Amino acid sequence: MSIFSLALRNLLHRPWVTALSLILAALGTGLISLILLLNWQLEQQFDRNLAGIDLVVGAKGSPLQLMMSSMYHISSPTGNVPLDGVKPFLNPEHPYIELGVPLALGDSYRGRRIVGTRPAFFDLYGAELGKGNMWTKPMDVVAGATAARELGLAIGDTFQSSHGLIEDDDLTHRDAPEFRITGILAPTGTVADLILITPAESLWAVHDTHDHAEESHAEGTHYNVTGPLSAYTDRSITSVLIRFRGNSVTALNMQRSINENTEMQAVTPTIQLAELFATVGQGEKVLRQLGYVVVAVSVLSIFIGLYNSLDQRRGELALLRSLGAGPPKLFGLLMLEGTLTAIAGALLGLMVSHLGIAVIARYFSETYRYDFRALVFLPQEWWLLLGAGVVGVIAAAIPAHRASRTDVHSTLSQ
Amino acid sequence: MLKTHDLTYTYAGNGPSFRFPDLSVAPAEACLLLGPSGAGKSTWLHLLAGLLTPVAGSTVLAGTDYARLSGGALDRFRGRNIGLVLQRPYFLQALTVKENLLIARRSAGLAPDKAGALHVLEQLGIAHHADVRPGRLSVGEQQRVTIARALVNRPQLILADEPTSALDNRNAARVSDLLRQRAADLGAALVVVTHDQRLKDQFDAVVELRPSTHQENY
Repeated sequence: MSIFSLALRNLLHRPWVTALSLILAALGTGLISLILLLNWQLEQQFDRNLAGIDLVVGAKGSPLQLMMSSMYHISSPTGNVPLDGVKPFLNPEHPYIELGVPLALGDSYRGRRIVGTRPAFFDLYGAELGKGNMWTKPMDVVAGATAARELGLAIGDTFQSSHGLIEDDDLTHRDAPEFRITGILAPTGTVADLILITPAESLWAVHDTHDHAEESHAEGTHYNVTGPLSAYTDRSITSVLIRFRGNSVTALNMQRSINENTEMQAVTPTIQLAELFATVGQGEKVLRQLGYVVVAVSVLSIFIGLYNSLDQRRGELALLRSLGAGPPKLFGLLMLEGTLTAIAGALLGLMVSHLGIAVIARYFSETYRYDFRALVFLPQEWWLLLGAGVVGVIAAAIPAHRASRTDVHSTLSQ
Repeated sequence: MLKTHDLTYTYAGNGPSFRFPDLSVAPAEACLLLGPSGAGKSTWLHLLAGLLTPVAGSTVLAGTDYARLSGGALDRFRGRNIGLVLQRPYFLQALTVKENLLIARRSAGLAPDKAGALHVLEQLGIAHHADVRPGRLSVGEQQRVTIARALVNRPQLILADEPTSALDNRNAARVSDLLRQRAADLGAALVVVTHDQRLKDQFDAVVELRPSTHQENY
């Protein structure tokens, strides 16, 4: 029977009081850690997929939407731009542009976006083929690792795309040519894992059949998917992802000139992200402060619980003194009861918040195909546990001091 | 062997002042301190228990004058050498009977001894309650647990505060027998403090306190 187990037994002996303190402590820490985790996950996801992209050029519309659709493949694109307008950005000899990646979006297969592009896309995300081969003709598809796994796609499989991002049978392009899997990427930990990648011409081919079903070149035989995209005229794509050579002054100038002089818009992802985080941060701040208030209430609850128990336990404490336990032991006993409650509550809160993240992760992966990691343990969470210990110490200090000053003689003489 | 000399206590402020008769109780011997309420019985008991520190005088047990000890040293000495049978049934309510005995050993800094604790409970006929919480026992059973707790550390001195006041004649005699017998078995000095006149005939050594705030030497 150590002091520790005595403290534990005392807590269990008053189950309702202990439960209330525990729940409040759990609620406070849970809320704070949930915010920490969500924040971390979001920033991780967004930052990882930044992929050194300095500029996104696409149709005018919401800048956030352009970035979200072209870089994170979450919302629908803002529209298309004529290929002729963006050709300069695709020129490998461009003095300022290190990498220009064209994107043709608009179709999906069972909720996974089909991205029409050029092999430069793989350079952008550092993706390499894990299995199979690179595409050689239109309608060939290289699948991202996660997408292939979750859709159960193997090399040689064929499918028909549907319009938009939603899984809906009515929107399937039934008379269009079928896509065929030629390769599967090795996992990259980026958005490239989540999508189906194909030459830009494939998407044109799908819509060619829409418009001119009788034309014989429906299979897109006249397309050359290994040549540069700039060889085509009268075509349109959705956007271009650009990575600059050199410094950001170029980027700012180019962005301004595109926005002012063309029918397109150029968006700097880092600035968009900063704005997005600032907006989300407002709500996050309110929630975090709510968390602190709950923590303060839990301090009060632990304090009141212990303080109230003192009156009922005066005899017990005097007894312990008479049995040879000195004042420091009684002080330690109450301190332990306080800190045990706070830390157990915090652990419970962390468990709940990770559970919450797991639930949110499920939702996210079902809706946006993004994978959250629920089992990640942030260094800040250690600080939360430490903070819970401090909370326990603060809450228990006064009751513990009073307990240590129990007057054995007067208590036992009553 | 318990020896006290010139034991004096004065309560703070204008409180009453006591001077207690000298005591000398050999191992395995029993002594009854008899007196009415207000005669300073509790004060005397708590001085003997080392719960109060006398203003003057000495309390010597097995060669140690524990009136001179203080703080942790006194707590340790009390825990190891003095077994207290409290008047009121104070227990750690969250623990079982057996654990209440074990915490007594722990508080005195002694090694845990489950077999010893069970043995004491057996001797007092309450071993079957070992895993019950004391709050669920009858008054008589609780009294036995209190006695068991006083014995479990094998103390040199056993102090009992009004151990029979709540009991009828038959049970009072049994408890008093039990105390004297167990103390004798352990070779401990036994001091019983009471106003219960029924116990007078059962003890060879009886010290009577007069109902006055000042006690003279015997």
